[in-house]
Amino acid sequence: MKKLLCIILSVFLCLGALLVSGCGLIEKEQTDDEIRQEIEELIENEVDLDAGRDYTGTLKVLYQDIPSETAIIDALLGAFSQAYPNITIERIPMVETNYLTLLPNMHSTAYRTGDYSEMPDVMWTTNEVFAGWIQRDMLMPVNYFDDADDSFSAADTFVELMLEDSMLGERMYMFPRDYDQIVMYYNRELLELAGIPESRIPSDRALTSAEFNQLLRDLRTAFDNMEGTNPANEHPYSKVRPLDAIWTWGSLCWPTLKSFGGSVMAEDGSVDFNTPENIRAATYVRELIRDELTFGTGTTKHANFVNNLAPLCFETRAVLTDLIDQSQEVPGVAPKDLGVAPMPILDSEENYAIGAGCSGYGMYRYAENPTEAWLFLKFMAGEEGQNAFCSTGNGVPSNKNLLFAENATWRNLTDPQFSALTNFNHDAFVYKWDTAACTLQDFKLLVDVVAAREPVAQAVSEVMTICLGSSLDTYQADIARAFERGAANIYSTIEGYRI
Amino acid sequence: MKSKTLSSENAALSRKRALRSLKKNLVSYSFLLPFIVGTLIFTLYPIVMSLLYALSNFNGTRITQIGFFNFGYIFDFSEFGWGRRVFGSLGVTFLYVIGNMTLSLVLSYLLALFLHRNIPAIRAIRVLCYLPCLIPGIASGVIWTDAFSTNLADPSMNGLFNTWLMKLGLEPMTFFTAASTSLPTLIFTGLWGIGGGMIMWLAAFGNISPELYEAAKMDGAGYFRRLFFITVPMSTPILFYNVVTSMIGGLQVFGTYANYGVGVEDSLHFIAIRIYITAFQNTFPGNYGLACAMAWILFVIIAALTLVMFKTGGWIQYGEGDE
Repeated sequence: MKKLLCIILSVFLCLGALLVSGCGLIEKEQTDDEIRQEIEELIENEVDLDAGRDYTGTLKVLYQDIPSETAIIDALLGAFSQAYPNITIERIPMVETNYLTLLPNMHSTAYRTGDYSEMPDVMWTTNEVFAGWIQRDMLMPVNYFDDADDSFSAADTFVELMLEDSMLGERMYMFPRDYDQIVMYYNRELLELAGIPESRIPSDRALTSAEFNQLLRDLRTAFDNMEGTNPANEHPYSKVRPLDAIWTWGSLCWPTLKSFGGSVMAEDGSVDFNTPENIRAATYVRELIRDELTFGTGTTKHANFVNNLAPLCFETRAVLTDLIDQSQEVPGVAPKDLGVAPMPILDSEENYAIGAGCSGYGMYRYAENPTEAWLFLKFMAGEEGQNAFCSTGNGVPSNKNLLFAENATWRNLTDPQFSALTNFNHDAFVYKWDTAACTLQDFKLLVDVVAAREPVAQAVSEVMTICLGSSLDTYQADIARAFERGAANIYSTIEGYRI
Repeated sequence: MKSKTLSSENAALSRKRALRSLKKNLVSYSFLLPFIVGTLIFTLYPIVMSLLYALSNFNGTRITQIGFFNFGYIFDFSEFGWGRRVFGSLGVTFLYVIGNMTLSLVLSYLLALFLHRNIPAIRAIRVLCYLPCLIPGIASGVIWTDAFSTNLADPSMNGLFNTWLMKLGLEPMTFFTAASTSLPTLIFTGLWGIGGGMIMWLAAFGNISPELYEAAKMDGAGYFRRLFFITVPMSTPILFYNVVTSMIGGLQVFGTYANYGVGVEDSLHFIAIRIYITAFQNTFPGNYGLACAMAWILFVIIAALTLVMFKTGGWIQYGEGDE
């Protein structure tokens, strides 16, 4: 008994000591006003907003170490170095997985030791990850820089939708680099094989749902009756299905639901997911699979299109070089055969929706070189930077002044790999950008618990995954049940994150 | 006065002795130093810090609150409280431990019994049975994922097992794609590793004195009597060891996350995975405090179960002397 008492007392003493020592580590949570004040002081004392092209300094840039991002950062930093020759660039490449795990841990260490020398000044980010980074105090609210700098205005520069995608609440945490809208790529060679004239895919307007569905069915019939094997991929022609699309990808899944009048959240912030419109949308896609008009669960990331197993593909400009890459195992699409058209209307014209999104660059909250970081962000957003970025071929500018400029680099690609692109309809990438384009922010902003926004978006995609994988015999009942459960899941996700 | 002098003399003497002992053992201590420092830095410090974090809202960057609230969240069984999630994961973990442990122990025992005989090429057969254990879990996970893959929408994309089922004219099964079949499928894949248990059993059988069998034979005991009255009782120490280590390992199961995630409707959301996701999930800052609190709860459960097993270990036959 005495021993037990001693143990209990010791445990309480240890816990007490831990609590007391922990109290010494407590930091006061900053209010919005305190954050604003702190950053305004930083701008006043440490940032040279009048810095010119002769500014001398160092800029540390962190980016994803993958070929497409490396090509983009090469182009951007090359142009930046020409514009600011006295700024030394330190590049910090980081592999994709470390971006999400190591970087926050590096920040934690830097924050606790007060040594930010290993941290970047500027880093690539997206709306999908930055909520967590903001919570950890990793990103600078750059709207205060925007307010203080008279030579720049984010509102006048960026496409409004992308600007919205770069914000959390009233603050802006990222400068959007690109404007990515889903289009319908097509393979002219396969269309010709199927006897479908290219004129059936107009370049100046979106296909109506009736036209689109008929096109899919005609393609399927043509390939179904075709004998022989495609020498490019050694697959029988009968294996070709008309459309390759990543239906479970949030940026396609949401506009698909929206096209049928669907929703995720109601305006009052309540869950509005288990609706007949959503069920109709999912049923539509499931039936495309049933009729062999599109592929399985739709998660192939344009693999079937580049393998010449699908003449049509829903994708964005960001993958253009992947589609025409003919140096890989899969044949790819010859540049002369690659056509592009606006995203078709999937249901009624009044609900026409096109998925859009962006990635961009944020400033590290404790950047050692905030002046250089701000200069880089402004440069990237400006016409010089955007043209440099677009010269890689995989980008549509986020700068709205360049979207329709005929002389903009993204419409006049000079790299030899693009020289064979013929009748390439650049306008498809900005078709109805101001009226039909939509992002996941449509419903994410209606979720009042910030932490739950991304999990809710994931839950929506999960429901689509379940619907597309449902059994042929019971898919209607399965889809109805998936939405019923999905709505409950979204509700519990939001409430679960509320604590 | 005299006693004071005596006690100071005693103290000086004991100091001298301690110093002499230290000098004598200096080399030993210097060899132990790296281990002691390593234990302090890499074991004791994290243990103390994890307890501190369990009492805070540490998110990887800062602490703004301290107290017992994380434990409050864990025991909050309201509709959206963490209690249901944490104890749901614990429930799934216990089901996995029971299923996996029972099946693996029984089948590895039967396999060892079968292989504990002098037949031609027995060594080669044993090696073949053990070989799957040499394949890394992540690699075997990829194989199982592919073999059990299910595509009800497009049957041509089904995995090996469903293709076999369909060729036999049976309906394809859901395997990892339905909550009801995920856990049994995962337990089934655990059979891949029964060769490891088999080796332990074979070692235990090798330690049983042949005289016992001979005496039993002379008394007219058949195979099953010898099995149940000699082999099984004499292998209880290894059985106990296997049960304890399987239970501890099973309660901390985590490797499945890489291949199968958390399963449909959290059917494979084991407690260690929940701890990991709570601390390190990508889309939102980790709730390190809550994760540490969960880890401490898991520690208490494992410690308590291990203690119970040792306290109720009277059934173990340690042979002569039964110590």
